[in-house]
Amino acid sequence: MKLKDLATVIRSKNASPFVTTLDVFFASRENYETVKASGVLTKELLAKLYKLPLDSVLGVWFVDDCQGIKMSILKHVPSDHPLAADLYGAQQNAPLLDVEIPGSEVPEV
Amino acid sequence: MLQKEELRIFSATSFMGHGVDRESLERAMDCNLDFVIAQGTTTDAGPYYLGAGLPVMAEEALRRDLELIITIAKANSVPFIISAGGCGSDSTTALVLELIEDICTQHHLSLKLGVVWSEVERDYLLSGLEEGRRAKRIVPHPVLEEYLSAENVRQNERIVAQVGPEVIMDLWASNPGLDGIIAGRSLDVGLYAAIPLLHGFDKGLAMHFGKIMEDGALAATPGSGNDGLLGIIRSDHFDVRPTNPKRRCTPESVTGHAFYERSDPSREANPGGDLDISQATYAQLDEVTVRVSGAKWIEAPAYTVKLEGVSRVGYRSICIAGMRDPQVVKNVDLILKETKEIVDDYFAYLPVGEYSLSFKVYGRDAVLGPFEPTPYVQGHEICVLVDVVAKTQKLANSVCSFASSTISHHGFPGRLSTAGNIAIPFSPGRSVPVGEVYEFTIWHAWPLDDPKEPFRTTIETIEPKGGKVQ
Repeated sequence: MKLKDLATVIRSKNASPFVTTLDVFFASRENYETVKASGVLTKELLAKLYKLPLDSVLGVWFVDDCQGIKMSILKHVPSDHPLAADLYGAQQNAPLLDVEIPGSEVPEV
Repeated sequence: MLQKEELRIFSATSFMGHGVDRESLERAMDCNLDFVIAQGTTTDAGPYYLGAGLPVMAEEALRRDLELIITIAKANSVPFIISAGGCGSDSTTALVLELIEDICTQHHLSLKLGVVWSEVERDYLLSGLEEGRRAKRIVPHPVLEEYLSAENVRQNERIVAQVGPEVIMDLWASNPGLDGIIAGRSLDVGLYAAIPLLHGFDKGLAMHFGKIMEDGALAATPGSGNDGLLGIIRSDHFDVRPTNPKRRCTPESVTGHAFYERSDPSREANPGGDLDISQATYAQLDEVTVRVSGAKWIEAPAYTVKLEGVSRVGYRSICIAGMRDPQVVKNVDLILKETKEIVDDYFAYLPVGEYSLSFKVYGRDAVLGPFEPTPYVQGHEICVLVDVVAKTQKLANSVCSFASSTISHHGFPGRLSTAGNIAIPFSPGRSVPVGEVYEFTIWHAWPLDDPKEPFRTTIETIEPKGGKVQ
């Protein structure tokens, strides 16, 4: 299944004009654990999806308390740059939606 | 030092101007409150407001929230701490005081306020740099100088520093009888942590209290940006709950909120140290209340305040150009490439860097740019945003107007729409002046021994216009 089929929130927002932060939340513990255990959401994946050098990915954190995943990346250009197009960084989530999560296949009936 | 064992603080809203719920605020007043606090400064809306010295929120919205908090707090003899105006320029702090004077006139109130002004003098920074102070960038983005330079300070339109809790603590402690404090650009967490710190509460606990409280009912479920949150801090924990019976706090709502707009969920740099919440615990105390404890404060080797400063890049003009004809849509890349060449050729007499011309193709990759996973047109219509930034508004208008008419009349193989390639939605349309363009060039940590050093504080007595309250 894809990340968008397992999560209830996949959002992006500025954490300063220079950083985009991406949050993923789940309604069920099971889905959260599946995504966490899959090992798919890594700094390397973020670098690939957002076409960034690896050291521009600031971190990927799994927070068990609230079944949430946070990922933060440096922006290609700051949100106030004349060439930028997303002042609040609120529409930077799309590349995450279709990430395939292995081990989450719907059992065949 | 003040020594209360318990403090009751109400966070009135997520942001000054987003709305205050009157009933929630009135209910909070029945809870033996020590303070009502609200924050209203931000860089979220971009550098324009600091550059222009204008408030981020509409004045009417700001006035309404000030009026509710101040009149209700004053009637209940509860002091308030409010940061407001958005960017923190001295002009916006002055505007907030004018709005309060207007409120005092309408409600026949007299107020004694402590005011913190957050705009920083260039000369103060320049002489600090000369003395050898080194201010490192806060985010390691390559557009920011690693260390703040004098040239950058000189070129800046306006610079503010974030008011830390120490400034609020000192102002409150040394001026008995204040009705409240109004601050410019502030560390949100610090507004809520200041009074607990003044009463000797643990710094990790007080700063974590601020972190959860700063956005009001956004830490509740259902969350709301225009409702409040009650926080009660004691020696080794704090409790939070909404006063609106439609909402409750849960460990998920409280911890989930701590994610918002922050790059690292477990540790956060603050003036003078880091807040580490990796060992914090969140327990459901009753139906609506969450008890929080366990945050740690890790002292930094040096105290710093955050500086924010903007430089003017130029002036912007835009054209919104709709494309519907299938041949035009199909040839959009060719049309835009050749338009760029024609425009650059036409304005070749100007020195390099006088203007920049860019196109954003909505319906293809305008939003995500280089990392759009589907960088091609799938629909039947698209929109090209022609975006020009130039040294003067007049030049921006000229370049934009020439570019949009070139796009409209450009020929290409297979063209049917020979009377025009684009639909312009309104007039003026070929070139719409948008005004000044700024960018943040200062986002640095300024080291200092006294956290109060860059800030000017004043005591203001606000009376109704046309005479004192009898």
